[in-house]
Amino acid sequence: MWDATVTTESTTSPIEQLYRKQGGHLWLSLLAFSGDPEVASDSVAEAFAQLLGRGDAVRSPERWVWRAAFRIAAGTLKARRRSLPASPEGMYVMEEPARDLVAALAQLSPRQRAAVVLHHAADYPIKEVAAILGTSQAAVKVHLARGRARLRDLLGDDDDG
Amino acid sequence: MGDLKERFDALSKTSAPDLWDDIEERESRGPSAPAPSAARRAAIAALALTLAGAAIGFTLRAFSGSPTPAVSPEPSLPANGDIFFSIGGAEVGIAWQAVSPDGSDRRTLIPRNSEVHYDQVAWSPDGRRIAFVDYLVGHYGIYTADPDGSHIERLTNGINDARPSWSPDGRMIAFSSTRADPSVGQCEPGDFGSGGLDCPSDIYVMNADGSGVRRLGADARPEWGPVWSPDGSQIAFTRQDVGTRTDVVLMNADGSDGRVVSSTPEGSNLRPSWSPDGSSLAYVSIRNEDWGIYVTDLMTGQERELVTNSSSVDDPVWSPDGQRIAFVSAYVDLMIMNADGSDVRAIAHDPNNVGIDDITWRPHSATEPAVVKGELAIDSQTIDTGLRFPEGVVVGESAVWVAAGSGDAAGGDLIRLDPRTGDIDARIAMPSLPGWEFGGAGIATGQGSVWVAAGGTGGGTVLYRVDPQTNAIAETIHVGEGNAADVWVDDSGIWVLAFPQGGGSMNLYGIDPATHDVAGVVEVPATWSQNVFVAGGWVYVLGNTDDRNGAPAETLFQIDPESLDIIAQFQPADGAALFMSASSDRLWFFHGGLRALDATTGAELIGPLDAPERCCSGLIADGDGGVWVVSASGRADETGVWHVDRDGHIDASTSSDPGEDAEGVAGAYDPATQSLWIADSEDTVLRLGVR
Repeated sequence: MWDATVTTESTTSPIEQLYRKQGGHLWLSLLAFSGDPEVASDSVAEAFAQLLGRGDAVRSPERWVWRAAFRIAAGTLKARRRSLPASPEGMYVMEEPARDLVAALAQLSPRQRAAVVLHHAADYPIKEVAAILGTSQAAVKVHLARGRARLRDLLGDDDDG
Repeated sequence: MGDLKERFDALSKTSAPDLWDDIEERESRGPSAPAPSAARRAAIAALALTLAGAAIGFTLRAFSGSPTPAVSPEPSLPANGDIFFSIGGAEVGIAWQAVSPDGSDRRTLIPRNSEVHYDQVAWSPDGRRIAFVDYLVGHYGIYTADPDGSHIERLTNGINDARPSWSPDGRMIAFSSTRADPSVGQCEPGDFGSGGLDCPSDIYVMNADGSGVRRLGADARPEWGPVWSPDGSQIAFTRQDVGTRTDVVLMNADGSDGRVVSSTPEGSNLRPSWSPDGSSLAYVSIRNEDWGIYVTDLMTGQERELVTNSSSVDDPVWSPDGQRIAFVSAYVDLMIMNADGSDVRAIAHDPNNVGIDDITWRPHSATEPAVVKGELAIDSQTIDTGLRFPEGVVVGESAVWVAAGSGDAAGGDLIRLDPRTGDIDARIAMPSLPGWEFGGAGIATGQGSVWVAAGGTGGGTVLYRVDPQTNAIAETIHVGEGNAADVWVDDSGIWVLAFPQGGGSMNLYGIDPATHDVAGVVEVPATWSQNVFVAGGWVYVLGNTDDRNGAPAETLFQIDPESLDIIAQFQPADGAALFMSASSDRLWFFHGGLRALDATTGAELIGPLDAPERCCSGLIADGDGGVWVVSASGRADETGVWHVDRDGHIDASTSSDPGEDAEGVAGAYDPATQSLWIADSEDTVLRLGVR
């Protein structure tokens, strides 16, 4: 679904290649998850930096970095105690329909929000969402169903699927 | 999914910054806490490029204000204690809750399903009694009770007797009432949208035992919501002026000298609250449909704005030390801010999205109320593990054990917690843990040891045996290839579930409990699993498979521990989720409601039970055949904790919110301390005392 790949010159480092391929998608997903471009940037940068530090110890770098970045973002949001919906200033990086979406996502529980973003925005299949979130596919299905229903209520959208 | 897809498409047009330089810079610094970085700078630059002039709805000026300079509280003013508030409404019932000013330690003091309808609860100044209103037919009036809801005394029986407020000496109670006109039906002054426009309410006072009721003042216009000044000499209240316009009015405590102290031609001022030094009133002001919170200095008459341009704020209440103000935003969020309007933050939310109201902020020394009998109370404690990813938690060997990956390396710590205090008694470094990469719990107690299944560093699946006497790894058992997913240990055996090397079916290893050698392996045709347990004499693996249409589905495999044959599989026809927890002889799960199977025969014993209708953050076995059902906050339909006994009776529940942390990745129950331990997916472990 995403069309936001970061494009610069090619590189031979596999992790930088992964960043060039996935970094933009991951950043946008984290923006949707956190509502805050600063949190998205910090989480992406920190997760990839940790991935660089681990090198070959990580067998599935893509899954690993997505999971790490979402956890770092969740930790940051939790540290802030989620006091308010996404900061108004940060919302301006998005178009209005996206701002409404992110504001609504902020009202979901973190796991619902992560599941919705990973499945509907990042286009990961349920199995992969479960692996990234460290939970079961069954739990992901429940989070998705509830998250979609809540979004539908909040946004007044039709849910045709 | 229709419009949602379009919204995500719109989001995808947002420009992502290039963070690679920042990534390399961070990596060169080595593993450390994230620091202000080029990423932030890139984000700010992206902001600057795309900043639009359009406003969005939720903008309170005070939210972006600078922090208040630190000012010491007046020596005579007490320190701040907890904040009390009502939550809910007619459809879901009203509960009375408390929370610390930092948002922690939220708890229910009077549940929403209590026999008595407690509304508009007001503390007596000495903290020994509460006054409250009961709106139910046949119960109308103002009551007092002990803070635990006992020793109820009815003071009045007027249909619209409301908003009790204690005098500072505790001897009098002011309230509003329409008792002057007995023909008036139930109405709420100020609630102009639902008939409150014609609610001829007046201000009354009475002795704290209900005697000596008398009206204060003689103004014909509706008046309501009296609050005593801290010195007891005056009473502030709201008066309806022209149409729906309202003013904040003051009068002497004997009813004389009524005068408007705050009025706005653009709308209404209402719901006054005294600063603890008596110098100022805070109140809600609605001006041209914008809601705000304002303060008027009673000496100078000068008004200042704290919160403006909001869609809804209500019920401002000053802190006992005078430095903060609590209020309600958007009907459902309890907020606090500095008394100058800066540093606004939310500390509680109504997960049912009905409403929060009737805030009282108690001094620190105030008496803590006991809990109403008949309902579970949640007493929560959050333990910071110091590691980012606690994944597994078990109770056994006289301790609570948490497996937590460090996030900085493939290993992590096995953390030993004191089950009574939550103190970290020991940290045992683990060369590797499975949880960080795959989320497996991989921890068990049994046979006098703590067992941690691990892997992921190229050495295959290993099982560490930790001696709880020495808090050290006593043995490392090399199980097989791949990476560990879970472990189960009981008197009859040791079972390790592992992801295979290179993908494919899961492997279940049986370990000889005497020699600790691998006695056998079962290939379980699941694509992914993190759950092995023994119940009813069988070994069970709950895993994921693809159904006949290729969609992922959960399947329960029943395995003979002697022959290692898979003897049965159970897969819900509709692909429904199975949240499962096993006791010694029962399998609890959700499938169209909470059900239990006989773990030996597979026969359905219980279910589906009425409530809760759906699962939950998790099912946690109670060790006695029953199960705890835990639901985290943010799920309006099912927030709370339930206990279901082995016969399927819901014998305890709470309506209070266990908090977001309860949405953890693993849980365990300790009957000795009546505590649920929940490992969060970030950095903490939550203890929920449930008694």
